[in-house]
Amino acid sequence: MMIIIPICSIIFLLFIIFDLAPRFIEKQWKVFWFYTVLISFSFVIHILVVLDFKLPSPAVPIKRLVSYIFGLQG
Amino acid sequence: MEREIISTKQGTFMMVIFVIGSSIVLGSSVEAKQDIWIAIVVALFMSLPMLFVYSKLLTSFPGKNLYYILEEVFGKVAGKIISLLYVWYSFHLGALVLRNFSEFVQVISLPETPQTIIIIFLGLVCLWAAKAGIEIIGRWTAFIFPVGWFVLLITIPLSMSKMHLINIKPVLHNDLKPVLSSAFSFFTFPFAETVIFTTVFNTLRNKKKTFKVYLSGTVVGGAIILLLSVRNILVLGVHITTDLYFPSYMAVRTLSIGDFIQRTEITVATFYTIGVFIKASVCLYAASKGVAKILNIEKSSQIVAPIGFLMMNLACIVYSSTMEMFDWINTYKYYAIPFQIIIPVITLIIAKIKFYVKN
Amino acid sequence: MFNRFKKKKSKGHEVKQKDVSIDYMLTNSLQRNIELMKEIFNSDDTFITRQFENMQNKNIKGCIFFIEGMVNNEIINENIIKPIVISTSINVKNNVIDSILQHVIFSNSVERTSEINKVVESIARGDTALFLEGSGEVLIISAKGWQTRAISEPEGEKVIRGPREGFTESLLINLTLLRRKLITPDLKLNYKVIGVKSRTRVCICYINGIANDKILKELNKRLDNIDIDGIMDSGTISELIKDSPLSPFKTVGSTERPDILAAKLLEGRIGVIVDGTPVAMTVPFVFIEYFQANEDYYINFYFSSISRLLRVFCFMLTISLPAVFVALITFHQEMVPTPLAISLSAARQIVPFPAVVGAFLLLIVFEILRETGTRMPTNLGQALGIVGAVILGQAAVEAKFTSAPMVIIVALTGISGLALPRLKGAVIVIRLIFLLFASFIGLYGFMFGVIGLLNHLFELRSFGVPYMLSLMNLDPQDLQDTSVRVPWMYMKYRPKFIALNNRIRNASEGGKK
Repeated sequence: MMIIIPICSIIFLLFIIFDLAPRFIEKQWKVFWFYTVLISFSFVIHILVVLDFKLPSPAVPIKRLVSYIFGLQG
Repeated sequence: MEREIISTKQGTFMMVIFVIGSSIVLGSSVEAKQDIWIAIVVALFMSLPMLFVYSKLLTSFPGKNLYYILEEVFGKVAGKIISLLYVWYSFHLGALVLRNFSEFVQVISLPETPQTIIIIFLGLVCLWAAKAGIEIIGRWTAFIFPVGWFVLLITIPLSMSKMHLINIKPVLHNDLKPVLSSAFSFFTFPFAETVIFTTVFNTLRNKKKTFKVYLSGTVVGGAIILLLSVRNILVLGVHITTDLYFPSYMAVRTLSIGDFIQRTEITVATFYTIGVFIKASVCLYAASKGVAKILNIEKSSQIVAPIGFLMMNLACIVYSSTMEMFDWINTYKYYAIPFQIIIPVITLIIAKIKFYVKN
Repeated sequence: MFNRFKKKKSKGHEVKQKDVSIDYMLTNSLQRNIELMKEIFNSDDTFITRQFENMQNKNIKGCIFFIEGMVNNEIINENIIKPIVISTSINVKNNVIDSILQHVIFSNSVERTSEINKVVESIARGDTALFLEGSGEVLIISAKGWQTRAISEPEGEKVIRGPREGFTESLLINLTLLRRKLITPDLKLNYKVIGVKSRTRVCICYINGIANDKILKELNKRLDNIDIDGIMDSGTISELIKDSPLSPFKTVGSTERPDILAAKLLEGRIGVIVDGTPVAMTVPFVFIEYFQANEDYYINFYFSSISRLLRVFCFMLTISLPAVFVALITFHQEMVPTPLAISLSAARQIVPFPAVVGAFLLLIVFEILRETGTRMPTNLGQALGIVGAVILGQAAVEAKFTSAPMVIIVALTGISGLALPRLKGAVIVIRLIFLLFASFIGLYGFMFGVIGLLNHLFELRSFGVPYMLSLMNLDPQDLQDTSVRVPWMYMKYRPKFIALNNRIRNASEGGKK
C-alpha cells in the first residue's frame, strides 16, 4: 500500500516538470495558478486517501439535497 | 493548432461506446425484473425528445458548444454559473465511471489490489486521451468499435444453448409501475447522459447530421444494451440477475462450448475497460472545456491534467463501499434530472424566444 | 505526451561555408592567384597545382587546381591540359577565356565564375578549376572521378522476387537509379546542402501533381532548420526532422531500394536522398508501413496478405506475450485451463524469483544475445548459438534459475520480434512497459498499456498526416493496402491525406497523367 506514495509523487513530479513548468516559462499566469492550486490540492488528497483517512464524500450531501428537493425518504 | 474535427462516423461510434460504456456490466435497474427489455425500449423512446432537444441546441448555434450557448442565452454571469454546474456534472460523472470500474476489478478479479492503483492507472490513460483531444478519442473509437461490437455480440449466439425462454415469462406480471420506474433509470443512465456530448459535438464535421449522430448512436447503443440485458435474463434467470452486481460478466462466464471456447468473460472485461476509458475521457474533456471557457483560457488541453487528478481523487473518496455505489443509482436518477432535462429544455426555449424577438 | 518535448525551432539560417572572400580576392595576375589558392589550401598535401602554357603562344598561361584522388586524371590530361597546350586557334585578341571555353576545352560541364567562394567549394567537391593569365575569371570544369561501390542488392532488404539493385553511397548514382524507374518530367529533384562543415548534398525528390504541397513545404522548412556541423547518414537527418523526437516510433521512413522509393513517390510521398549513404528517407511515414515489404506487391496477393497478417500477429505477440504470461500466472490463475495451470505452477514452484523478475532477466539475456550476434564477426555465430541455446536455455532451467515455460515464452517473444527488424527499438520499450504494468495490476495493467500505446499512436503525426492513417476509419477502401493486400486491379486509390489532390492511380479513370 505504501508503495503508492512514491509512485504518485513521481507521477505528480513528472506532470509538474513537463506540463506545469512550460506554463511558467510562457508566463500564462492564469493557467499556472489554477494548475498549481489544483494539483497541490489533489496531491494532498491523494496522500490522505493512501494513508486511509476517511474523507467526506460529496455523494452524501448531494443525496440529502436530492431527497430534500424531490421529497424522497431515505 | 488547427481546429479539432471529428467525422460523423467517429461521432456515432463514440456515442455508442459512451452509452454502453458502463452499462455493459452494471445491472442498472432491478425493479423491472423480467420485463427489463420493455423498460429499455420505453427508456429509448423517452430519450428521443431529449436527443432532439440536445441536437437542436447544437444546430441553433453551429460550431459552438454548450458552454458558449449558455453564456449566449443566459448572459455572462448566469451563464457561467450554469456552466459550472455542467462542469461539475461531467466531472462527477467521470469520477463515478472510474470508481465503477475499480469496484468491478476489485470484486471480479483483483481483491487484494487497492482501488487507488487501478484508478490512477485508468485515470492517467484517460488524462492522456483527454489532453490529446477529442480527435484522438474519435479515432480511438472508430478503430476499436468495429472489432469490439463483434466480440461483444458473438457471445450472444454462443450462449444460445444456455438460454431458457421461460426466464422472461410472464410478461408484465408485476404491473406497469416498476417497469416505468426502471425505464426512467435507464433514461437517466445511460441514454440521457449523452447531454455531455453537447459540449463536444460542436466539432462534428457535418453539422447538419448532429441529430442523426445522436439518434443512431443512442439507438445502436440502446440495442446493444437491450440484447445484453435480455441475454443475461435468459441465461441467468431473474433471481440471479437481480442478485448479482455484474450480471453480464457472470452470464458470459457460464459460457463454454466444448473445451475449446472458455473463459470468454475476458471479452466483457476488455470491452468494459475500453468503454470506461472512452466515457471517462469524454467526461474529462467536457469538464476541462467548461473550465477553460469559464476562466477564458484558450487551450483547454493545458488544464486537463489537474482536473484529471482531481477526478481521480473524487473517484477514490466518492463511495465507501460497493453497496453504496449500487445504492447511488436510486439517487442518481433524480440528481440527473436538472442536467439532463430541465436546463437543456429551458435553454432551448429561451434561445428560440430570443431568436424570435430578434427577427 | 511526447509531443511536448518538441524541440524549439531555431531560426532559419543558410548553411554557409567559411567565407573566404573577405580575406582573399581574385586578381588578373596568374601568379598572384596561384599564391592565393595555395594559401587557402595550405597544409593540404592532396591539393595539386599544375601550371602549363600554350606551345605556340607563350602568353597563354594557365594553371589548374584539383584535389588528388577526387578527379578523373584521364579527363584532365586529355580534355583540359592537352587541348590548351597544343591548340593553335586560341584567339588572343579578344577575351582569352571566352575562346578557351568555346573552342578548346572538351567538357560537357564548364562554369565560369569570378567568385572565390565558389571556386574553393568546387575544388573541395572534386571539380577542377582552370585559372588563366590575365583573367580574373575562373573556369570550373567538372572532372570528378572516384571509386564507388558497385550497385548490389542491399543486405538488409533482400527479396526473393523483385529488382536486385540497391542504392550506393553516391548521390548521383542513386538519382539515376531512381530516375530510371520513373521516366516522367514530373519527377522533380531539388538539391539542398546540410551541415556547416560536411556540406552534405541532399536531394528532395517528389512527383509534381501527386505529392502534397503542404508536406513538401513543411519538409523544406524542417530541413532548413537543421543546425549541425556534419551529416554522416540519413539517420541523423531523420532524427532531426522527426515529429516527436522522444517517441520510440519513427515518423520518417527509410529504404535502400530504388523500387521502394519509386513506389512511395507514386503514392504521393516525398523522398530525400542523402549523399554518402545508401539509405534514402521517405516522408510521411505512417504506422502501417512497418508491416509492408516491397515484395508484397510483386508476389501473389494471398501470400502477401498472409505474410502481412503474420507480421501484425508477430508484433502483437512480441509486445504482449511476456506481460500476458506474467499477468496470468501471478494474478489470474483462474483464467488458465486447469491442467496447464497445474503444470505451470509445478514448473514455477522451484524458481526463486517472482515471475516478473524472471521474465525481465530472460528478456535482457535475449537482447544481449541478439546484440552480440549483430556486432561480432560472423564466424563466431556457432559458438553464440551453443551458448544461447544450451547454456542459457537448458542449463538455466535444469539449474532451476528459471522455469521452462518462461524460457519458451521469452524465446517466442524474441523470435517474433525478429520478424519486424525495423520496429525493434520501439518493441523493446513497449514490451518492458507492458511487463511493468502487468506486474502491477495484471491483465488490466496490460490493457491500460495497450490503451496508452494506442493513445500515443493516434496522437502521433508524421508531417501533419495521422500516424494511424487508414486504420482509424476502417473504410474498406482505406484497408486495401494495410494488414492485407488486395490485388493490384482493385488498388485504384492512393492513400488519403498523403496524395491530397490526385488520388486516382490509373490514368484511364480520370487520373491526371
